[in-house]
Amino acid sequence: MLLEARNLVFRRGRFSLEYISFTAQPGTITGIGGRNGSGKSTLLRLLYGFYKPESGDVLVEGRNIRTMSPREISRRISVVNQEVSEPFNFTVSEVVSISGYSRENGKPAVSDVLSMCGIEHLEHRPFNEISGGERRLSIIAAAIYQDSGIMLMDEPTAFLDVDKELRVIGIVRKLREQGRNIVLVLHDVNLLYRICDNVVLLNNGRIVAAGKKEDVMTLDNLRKTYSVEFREVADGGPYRFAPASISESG
Amino acid sequence: MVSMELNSRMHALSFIRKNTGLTARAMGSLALLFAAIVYSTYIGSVSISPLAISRIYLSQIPFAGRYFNGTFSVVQYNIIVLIREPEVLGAVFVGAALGMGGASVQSVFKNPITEPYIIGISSGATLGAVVALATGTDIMGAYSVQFLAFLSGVAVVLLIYVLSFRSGKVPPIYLLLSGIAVSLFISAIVGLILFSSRRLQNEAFAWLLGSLSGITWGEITIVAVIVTVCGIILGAMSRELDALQMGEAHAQSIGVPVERVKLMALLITTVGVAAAVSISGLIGFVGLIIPHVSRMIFGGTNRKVVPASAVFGAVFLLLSDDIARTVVHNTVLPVGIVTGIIGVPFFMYLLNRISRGSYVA
Repeated sequence: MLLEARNLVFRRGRFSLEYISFTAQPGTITGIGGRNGSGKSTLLRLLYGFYKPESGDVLVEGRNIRTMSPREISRRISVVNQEVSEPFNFTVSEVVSISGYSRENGKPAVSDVLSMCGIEHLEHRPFNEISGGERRLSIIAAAIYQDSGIMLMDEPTAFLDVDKELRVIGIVRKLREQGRNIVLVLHDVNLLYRICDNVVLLNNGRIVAAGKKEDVMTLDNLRKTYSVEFREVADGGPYRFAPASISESG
Repeated sequence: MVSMELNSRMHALSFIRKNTGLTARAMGSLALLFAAIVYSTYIGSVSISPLAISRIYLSQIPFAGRYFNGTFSVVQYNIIVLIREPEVLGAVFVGAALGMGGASVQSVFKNPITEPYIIGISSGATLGAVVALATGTDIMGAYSVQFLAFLSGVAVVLLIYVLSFRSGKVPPIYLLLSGIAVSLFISAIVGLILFSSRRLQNEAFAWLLGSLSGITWGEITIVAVIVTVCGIILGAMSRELDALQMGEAHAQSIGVPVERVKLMALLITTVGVAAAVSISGLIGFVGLIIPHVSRMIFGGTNRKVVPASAVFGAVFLLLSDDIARTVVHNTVLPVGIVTGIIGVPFFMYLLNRISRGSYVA
């Protein structure tokens, strides 16, 4: 499913997002990067209609989400928010099945999405008793259970142990292989480069650059985005960029 | 000490959830309700056996009831049906409304230590009742106090809702704070009205502490219909209430029309609870405690919690009323005093539990 943001403008108090436009294609991962407070999470919330833009539109397969009910939007877009409230007494299985509120067919099953995320052993555990990382995986499982073509994820790897971070990255890549359109908010520059096909860089509510990651993630654009000089790390493996002030030896 | 004792009891409730089937728990809860109804009816100056009382109740069930006709005397029937049953049914429907209302507002606010009164129902209803008593209005004949209490309760909640609007949404925190502010303001007005008349203070006293004495068939019939309809609607909204517990952003992302659901849930809760409060006065803590007990026995989903809260709310209020009627010889205490005395230790237990980490029943 194609997702397009067209000239989105959103203002609240002193914060504003100004004329944000980009396109996210099915079968790709699009990353939204920027400093804290640059508007990444707000943009994500505009994309699924939780916030209403002052002007501009979000289109799914050419259809404006303003004309859709929350139910219609949720059949096309699922969301992994960075934080969810603690429900009083739900099991992991119940948390996942709640996300099937709007879906039209009975697939996938709860057990399938739990095993895809490697947490089938948590099915009957109270959601509030599992670790933060396990909760994140449960919410990702819930978003997959929602069975939508577009998935928005707000910092899906933040505060995770290395093993869970790798697992989340594996799941995201698998979802891309299935042809889903994935949009991630990520603050980690190297992760943006590592797993995304396309990148949107934001600074202070404005787009610095958007497009293929090779074209967008230049040292100049990173400096404009993060207000820090970066340099490329030679043979750094997954770590391509480092702040210029940090030497190779650390 | 109290906390430890409560802790072991709550674990016993969780034990029931983990070791018995859903059908057994549901049937057990209904049997408990029936037993509480029979026991509450049994307590009285004229002794009628629990068996006769059971037969009289069962004889009133449509169609199946005729099998029980003739198994009790006309005198027994009249004492039960005309005198004791309205008060017992009053406890059942008021308790059910408060229990379901608690489950509803706790989900909407995502907060385990709220109860229906938090959104202004109690202060609004009190204002209506006190104004009716002060003016001696005859607007609805014998039901003027109840009618004005109901109307004022609903109106104040709507006022608080409108005051909480921010950018097309009603954030729960604004609702909560507006509720507290408006309730304090109304309490001041109520205080001012009561200050003007000692007669009024005595009349309002019973209402403010809650009482089920003297409820009539006319009152209970109307309240029963309202509470039943509200209960059915809240039950039908259980999936939406579950989603709200996960946070509004999450609920919207799975397709729940968040603002519409919140308005609907608060409105239905208000109508049900205001109707109940209009005939009973303020009975506290039922809406706070009962949803938690229900979650401990039936788990967290509102599909089970809403009906279970209705049943346990009814049982709790029946037994509290039994205590209120029997604890002091020849004196009927306001039932709100009993629920308050039981409710405060439970509230402290709940706070203790929450402060030690996440809330898991």
